Amino acid sequence: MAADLIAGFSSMFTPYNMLLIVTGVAMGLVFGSIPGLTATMAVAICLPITFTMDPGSGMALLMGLYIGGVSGGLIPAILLKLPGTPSSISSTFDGYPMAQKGEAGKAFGLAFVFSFLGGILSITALILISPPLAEFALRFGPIEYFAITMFALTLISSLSEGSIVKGMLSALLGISLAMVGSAPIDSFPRFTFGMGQLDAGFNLLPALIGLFAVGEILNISERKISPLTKGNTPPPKMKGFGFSLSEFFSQGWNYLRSSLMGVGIGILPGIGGGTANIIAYATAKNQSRYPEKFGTGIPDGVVASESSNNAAIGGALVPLMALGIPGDTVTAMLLGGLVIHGIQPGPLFFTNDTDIVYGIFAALIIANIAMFLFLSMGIRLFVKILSIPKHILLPIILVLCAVGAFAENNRLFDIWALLFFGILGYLFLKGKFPIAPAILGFILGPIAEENLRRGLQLTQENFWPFLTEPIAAVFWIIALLSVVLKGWKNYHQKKSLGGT
Amino acid sequence: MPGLLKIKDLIAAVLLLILSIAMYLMTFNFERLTVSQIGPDFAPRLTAGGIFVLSLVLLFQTLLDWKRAKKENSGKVTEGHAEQEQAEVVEEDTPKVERYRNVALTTGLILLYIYLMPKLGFLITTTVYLFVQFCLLGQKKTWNFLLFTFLSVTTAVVVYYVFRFGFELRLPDGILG
Repeated sequence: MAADLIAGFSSMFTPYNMLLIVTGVAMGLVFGSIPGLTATMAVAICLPITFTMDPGSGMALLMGLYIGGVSGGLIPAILLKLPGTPSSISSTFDGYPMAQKGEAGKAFGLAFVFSFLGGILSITALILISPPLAEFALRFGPIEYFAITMFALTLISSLSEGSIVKGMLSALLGISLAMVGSAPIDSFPRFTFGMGQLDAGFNLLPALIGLFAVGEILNISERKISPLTKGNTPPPKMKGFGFSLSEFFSQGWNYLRSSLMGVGIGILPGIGGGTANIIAYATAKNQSRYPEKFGTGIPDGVVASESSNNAAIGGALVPLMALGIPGDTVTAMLLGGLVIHGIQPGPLFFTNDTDIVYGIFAALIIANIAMFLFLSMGIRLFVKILSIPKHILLPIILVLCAVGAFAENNRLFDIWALLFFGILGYLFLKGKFPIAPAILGFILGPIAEENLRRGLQLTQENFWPFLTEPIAAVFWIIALLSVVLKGWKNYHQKKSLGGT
Repeated sequence: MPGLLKIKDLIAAVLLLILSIAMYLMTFNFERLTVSQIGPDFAPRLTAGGIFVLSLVLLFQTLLDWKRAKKENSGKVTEGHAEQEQAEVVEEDTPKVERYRNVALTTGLILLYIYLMPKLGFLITTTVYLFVQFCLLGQKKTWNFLLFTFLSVTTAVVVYYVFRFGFELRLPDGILG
């Protein structure tokens, strides 16, 4: 493994790849720091430019974007009380009060250092967990894969925000959209309405970018944008990292707990940094000897939030790389990026494309370091970027989305599909249906169907083994538990709401 | 806005019910091309069935909540989530009609952009699209036509040539081609 890792590093240590990683991190930080733009969007619009690169270089850029996108959110969270991305929501709880008390420099110092450390811990976990997991998954057949995809879909529907019914409907709609085009195995064209362009189904890229980026742009376009009035915040004065060594070590346990939670939550399909930071913050508060101080601007809050959200990155990559199942929306995009290069993540990924696997690991570590350097040296610049008005940025992003949709197959039809999915994404937002389950449904639906039909061929048309094979059974049980748990939680929430 | 969320849920549930029925009916045109127990119609029927059942649940949930709220009759319907407002953008909230008009305008503009792109070419349509969209999204006081013109022309040209020479992607040329 060490040799593979060294090979991975040497493949990344070329001027071209280093440039890509650094550019990715910088762009990711910009996207992360501007509220309304997310890591998902950054990856979406850069995906098409990776088509012509070799897979390793493409991944270098995308990993940079991912790390930068998740980290950038801390800047407006601390300065403006606006989380740049959902991953930084709880950084506002203590980061902003710290900045108000004149401790912005210290808050940033803590946020950078612990983002970095959270990232490193999670990448280490990724490197340690995913190869053995992939090896274990080598013995999975269609039956197990069917169970895993259903498990992932159930989990994401029940874990995503809001009502479980809407989450599941969203996943089913995603599955339905993926059914347009040729059926697996026998290639019978379904739901094409006689349109030849639909024979191959919707492309992944327009679907992803449309649902996420275009839907969000339409949503923002509801209201006329006025220039940011709060944008003139003076950049913080940084003196070292603003905290002492003893303060650093006093956060050790908090860091470790928050990061491990981040990794764990990241591994579960459907939830990532956006949930991890909130749960880690709540846990840090509950376990603290001084919970009443949380929210008044104490380092513990910033450390919990920022170490957990970066730790979720490595976690989310575990199921993507080892099983081929994306854990969150960014990894869904990354899956698209790999598939376009003819690489299928999953158990065989580790034996067939070892160089790319370890290249990704190396790129993540380098990107994490680059993120740390950028933030600790260039904070003034990023603060300035916050004042770029969104009415300028969003149209340019839309153009890039259109180009991206067009790029995969050079056909205009995909731009129409982009708009279709954009309007759909907007309707999802309006109806408060979570979008992530739809994306996962779109990706996993066809995998599930194919494995079901393959599996039935293997079992001589008997469905029973799908439930009784031990590994599959375990996944079914966890999936069922997650639904029951969420239903129970929803029921109690409703009851307590009705009571008051 | 009490009650608003519920109406949306009602519409969503009814639309999804119709969709699931239509989807189910369409599977009857699917042909079996293999001798296997399940054909291309199995998964769509299962999915349609799932959507049908779940949207019924959503429908009943919505109606029950509405009934309960009417019984308690404090005039307030508990809203699951407060609408996420983007505080930096809104001083006082834009009226609903205006919000939907804004979305419709942007959607229409994008539609026109895609429709005209193969005819007029990427460079022209993108320049015009960007300019109009800048104006549509920003408040009047943010309008800076000189800056808008400069940005829309530069973006269109840079994107076109970067993709053409950097990434070997030829965007539609239209009448310029």
